[in-house]
Amino acid sequence: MTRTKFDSGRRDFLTRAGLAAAAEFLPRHLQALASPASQKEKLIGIQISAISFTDEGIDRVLDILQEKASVNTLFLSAFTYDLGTGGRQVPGRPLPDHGKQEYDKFHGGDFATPHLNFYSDTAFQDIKAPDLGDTDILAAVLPKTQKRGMKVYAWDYNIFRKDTPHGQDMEEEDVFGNKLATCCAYNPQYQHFIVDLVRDHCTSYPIDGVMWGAEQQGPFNNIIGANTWNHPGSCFCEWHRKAAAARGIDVPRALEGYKKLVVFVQQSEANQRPTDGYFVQFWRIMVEYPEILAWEKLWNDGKYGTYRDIYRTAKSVRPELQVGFHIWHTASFSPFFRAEQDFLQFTEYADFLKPVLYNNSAGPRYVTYLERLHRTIFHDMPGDEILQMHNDFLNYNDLGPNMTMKALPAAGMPAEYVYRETKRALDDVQGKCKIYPGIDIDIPTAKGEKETTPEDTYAATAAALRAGAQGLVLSRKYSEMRLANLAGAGKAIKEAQAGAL
Amino acid sequence: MASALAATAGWLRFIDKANGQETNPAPRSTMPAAAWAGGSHATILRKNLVGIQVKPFAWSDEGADEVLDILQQKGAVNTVFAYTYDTDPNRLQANGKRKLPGHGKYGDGGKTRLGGAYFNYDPKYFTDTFLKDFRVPDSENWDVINTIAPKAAARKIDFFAWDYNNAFPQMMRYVPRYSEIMEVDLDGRRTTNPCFNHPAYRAFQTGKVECYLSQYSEHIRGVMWGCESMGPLDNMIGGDFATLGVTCFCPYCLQMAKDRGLSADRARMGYRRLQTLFAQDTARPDDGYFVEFWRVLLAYPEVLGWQDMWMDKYRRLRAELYGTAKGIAPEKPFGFHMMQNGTFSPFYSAAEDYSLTRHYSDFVKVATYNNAGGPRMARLADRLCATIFRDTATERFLPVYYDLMGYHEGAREEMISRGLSPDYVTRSTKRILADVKGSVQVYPGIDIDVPTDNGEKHTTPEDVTQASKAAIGAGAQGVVLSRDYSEMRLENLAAAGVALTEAFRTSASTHLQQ
Repeated sequence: MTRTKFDSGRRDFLTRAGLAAAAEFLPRHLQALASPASQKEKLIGIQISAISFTDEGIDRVLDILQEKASVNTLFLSAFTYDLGTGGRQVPGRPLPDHGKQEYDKFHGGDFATPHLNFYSDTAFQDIKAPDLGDTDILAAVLPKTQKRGMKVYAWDYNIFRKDTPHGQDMEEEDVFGNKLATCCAYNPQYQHFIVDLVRDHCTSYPIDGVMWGAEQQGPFNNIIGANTWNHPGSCFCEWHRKAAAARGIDVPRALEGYKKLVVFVQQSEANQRPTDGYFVQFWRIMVEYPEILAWEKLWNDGKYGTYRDIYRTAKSVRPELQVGFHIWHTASFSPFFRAEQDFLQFTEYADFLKPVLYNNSAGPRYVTYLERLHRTIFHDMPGDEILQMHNDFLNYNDLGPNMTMKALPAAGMPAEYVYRETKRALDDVQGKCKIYPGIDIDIPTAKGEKETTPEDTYAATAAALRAGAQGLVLSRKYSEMRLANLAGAGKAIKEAQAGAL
Repeated sequence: MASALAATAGWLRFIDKANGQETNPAPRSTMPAAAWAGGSHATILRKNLVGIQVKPFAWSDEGADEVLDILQQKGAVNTVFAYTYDTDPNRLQANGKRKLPGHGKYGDGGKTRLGGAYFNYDPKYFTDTFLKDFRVPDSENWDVINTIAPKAAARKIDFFAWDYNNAFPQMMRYVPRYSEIMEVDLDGRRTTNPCFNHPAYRAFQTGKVECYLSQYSEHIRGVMWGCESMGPLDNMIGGDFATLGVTCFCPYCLQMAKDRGLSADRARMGYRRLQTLFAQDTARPDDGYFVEFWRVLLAYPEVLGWQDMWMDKYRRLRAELYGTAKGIAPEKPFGFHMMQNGTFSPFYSAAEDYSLTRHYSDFVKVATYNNAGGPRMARLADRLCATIFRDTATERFLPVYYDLMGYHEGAREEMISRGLSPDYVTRSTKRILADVKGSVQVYPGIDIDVPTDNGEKHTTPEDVTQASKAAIGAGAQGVVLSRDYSEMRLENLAAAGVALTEAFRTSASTHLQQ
């Protein structure tokens, strides 16, 4: 899918000028924008963890969400072992102005009730989150939301603990055979578990949809450091090797290539410059071992196989269930990861996509990513040069004076980033699925880095809606949001609903 | 002649599984060339080599003795790289843009210069190939080797055969069956580039090497072989250096791919995707050009596989030629002309891996033409910014590019009008010296009036002086004055002579065993 400058300019003109009469000629996703009434039909979602309801009371929380931000859909963190999506505020960050004023010891798991009859084909069954006792958060919240006409999507997140019984049966392996906490998409135990979990949630509860999030990437991207955190390259377990062999990939050569890539990265990080330069040496390995990219694609195909399984499973239970995917923030920073996120392909098994467009935390995260690549394949280039090149690749090259390695962590990315990325996503999917950008409200950053303000959340929310998004998801979780910032987003939402944005 | 390199490396077996044969991944050669050729003391290399490339017509235009005197007296030349096989039809014409450099003659404007052999080969060296009739038809059987080599030897100048094989279509027009050995592009069309995998072409090339070192053993002191060609991906992004077509999909290459388990169909699909992406009228994809490029590689790693296979063919041919030469005359240096794009493109630089080249060569003459290099590098950067890096503009890209390649040159327009600095010569030379780890001699090509267009950098004596000093200062064991004597102004040639004499003053210019 490509677009011309004319197309883009035409859309901007029509939408910003409010020419409703021309709306029927607009792409489907922009027709909604042209009609103030339809703004009220947009999905206004929020990610929320179970503990917020037990801490603050279900009705009280729902009141706040509706009043301050016109929320009509909960993305209720049902299955998660991650404190980024479950539990209260992360330790070290100030507690927000609501909820219990103490940090929790988060364990995670299924915050609904695992019905074991759904899990007969996997040993990974002991998943009930112990954090809230016997509380079944879906069972508790759904009656209340239904009364208010609010929708609930199960928000399930692909992070696992190493201490869960039989979790190790599903674990990925790195190229040297070390076990990792992530799970292999070609492992039947894992495949069964994911299908079982989705079927359980969709069958046992009158939920309206499912959102699945998997913030992982293939071995190539991890090894070269195209990431915001350290993760070894994976997976090379027996299931993955079988899948590779079935595809006709030469497994020994793939392993050899990846080991060479690992050595190259280790030497780069140790400032041992190859004679011909870091990038030339990197490219040499890539050409000599195309199996590296073949394996990377294999890994991604496994991930997207999981997406397909989730979609088919949910639809087989109830076709009207909405199924979508959380798209990791790295797609905003890494052209390599972005290349693997083919939104148009996702529309084959997604009703919606939630691209993470957290503009405040994007500042430090983008810089962290660039610093990591600076230590590997782009080690010959200064950081700001790598940034400029990425800005050109990613269409951020005119986002203002703060787009420097020095300024970005404290300044964050501007709301224009949200606008531009929303439009890109909409153009990519060609109206075949909905786009709900993830809006940054107090996503944790380190000391001295960008903190969210009400003006930020207003601007980001307005940008997403102006760009034509069919909805949005306030993120990452209510338990870390300050209410003023939530209200900032709400202000933009209300203005849009009133046709005043 | 057996290949010194493994012909196959293990590879993906995506679709062409019908063949059913797995290839054993074989390591690339790790044996140093000199050791393989019969001992590290077998090859006699001249110390402080000052070479010069001379076109065939220069000898007849100006007189062999006169030319040799000029080369020796002005250029301090001790080795003539005489074009013995030359495929290039071009030379200065009276009605052309460029004028004579103060010596020599214009070509006959009404007559196309034909390429081929300027020596009278014995057909017995070419029994294994159908390319048998490649003697230049318009030179009345004048033999450059028999004519020039004795005169050079009388002056203690070494005579090297410079076997130049660049792709020029006129070869197809008069050499019988030459078109049959041409590469085939992804649409099945013959191109104008010879396929290094074609048995007839390989036999033709090895035949020439045998002929040089057997038939002309008393005259030829060394051989340089060159063919400026690149694999399909490099060709798509190669700018000035690109030859015709995305290649090669001839029956021999299809078989080679099949043996590797590499799918030709998928390679074609991938390259077609790239052709579309790189087309001038392709609008920016929603996700950007680079992202789309990477997406194609992910979807079709066979693109890289085909590129790698192409380079393996190139390496294999060169290794075969080297092995042939060493088998016949191990004491005589055999080396390669390396095209300038290897010092420019990060992608082709990765392909032309000197840590491999060093296993099948005694010397490399690297085209480090700094004056013409300015506009050439600018155009290469333009091309990269029209393909893989199309999201950015050349001026924005240049600092990135310089850092990737380790250069410190100027802005685009400055590069075109001023050329590249001597520092480019220094850095390129040092890099290659480090790559070959002392097992191969490195002779940077010194730019003396390598043609450029109006408004572009033209050579001055000071340029030649600085480039010569840069090459020797970087540690090169010699230089080759380039591209061709018939293009050089004599004051520029003289500047090289003075600079090189000075640079080598403390060294004896004698034959030494290395």
